[in-house]
Amino acid sequence: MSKAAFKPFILPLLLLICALFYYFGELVDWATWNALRKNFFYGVHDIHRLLFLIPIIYAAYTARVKGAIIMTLVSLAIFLPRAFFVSPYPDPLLRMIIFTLGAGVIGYLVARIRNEGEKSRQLEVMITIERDKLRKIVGGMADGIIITGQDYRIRFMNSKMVDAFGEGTGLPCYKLLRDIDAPCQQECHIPDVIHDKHIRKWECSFPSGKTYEILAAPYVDSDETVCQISIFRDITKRKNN
Amino acid sequence: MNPEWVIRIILFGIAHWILAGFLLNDLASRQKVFGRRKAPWVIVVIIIPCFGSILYLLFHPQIFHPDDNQK
Repeated sequence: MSKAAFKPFILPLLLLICALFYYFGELVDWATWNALRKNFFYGVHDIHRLLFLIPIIYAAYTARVKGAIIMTLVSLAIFLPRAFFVSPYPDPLLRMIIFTLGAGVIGYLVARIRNEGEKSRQLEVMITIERDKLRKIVGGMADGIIITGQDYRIRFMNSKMVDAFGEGTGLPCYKLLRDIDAPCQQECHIPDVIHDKHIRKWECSFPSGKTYEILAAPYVDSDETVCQISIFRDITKRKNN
Repeated sequence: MNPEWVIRIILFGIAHWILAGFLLNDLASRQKVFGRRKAPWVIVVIIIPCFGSILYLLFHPQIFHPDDNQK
């Protein structure tokens, strides 16, 4: 039999062990197993009750809030006969109710933490799928895309742009595109686009001999920085004709 | 009636009816039940306070593994 086939029986088994342990003193008396008569089984059962935290937490882990509530109530049903008819100690009902409430809260919190963990895992998977989809779309575009920050450093280039100019993420755009050491004087629209939030369109020739039509717009990156996203369309052939 | 007995009955009643609510809901949505018929389980869960519910849980432990049931 596979391991998974045993899984549903873990909780009933845990519960049975806890219940047997909880009433072991009475069981020993009933069966007259005098050799097993130990003082521990006849003391205040607050410590014995702690064992029930195991099935409650396990139920919360596997069946979430519903599991935690059911197991807490089942534990309460197991505690009640002792509190009502067996325990000779003071306030058995009160101590039992306090424990049950505490255990229920712990179970609920475990279930909530597990729910949140599960939710964030699902979100992570969804985000990864969406990101991959977006990368495929951007990567498959016929035009080049480049995202440039306020410091002129390139934050992103799509594969078309890398093919045309080489990998330059992290480099200043003027260094990669024109191999110069300062921002382009006339043709740079970054201040316009980023600071004034304007969309700009212009044509630009590069040292490689190619001419591009550039459409630039403001873009807020994941770190909340306003950047410039530019689409480079190769119009060299159109210009030469 | 002795007030202590009233407390006992109320506590058993609370535990019984909340458990019964959860388990009858599970029973209604379950396609296969132990013994094939649902009606006897409804009677067991309702008629035997708390221990009927424990009996139901012992025979249907899948309630604690909803993720496995979906697979």
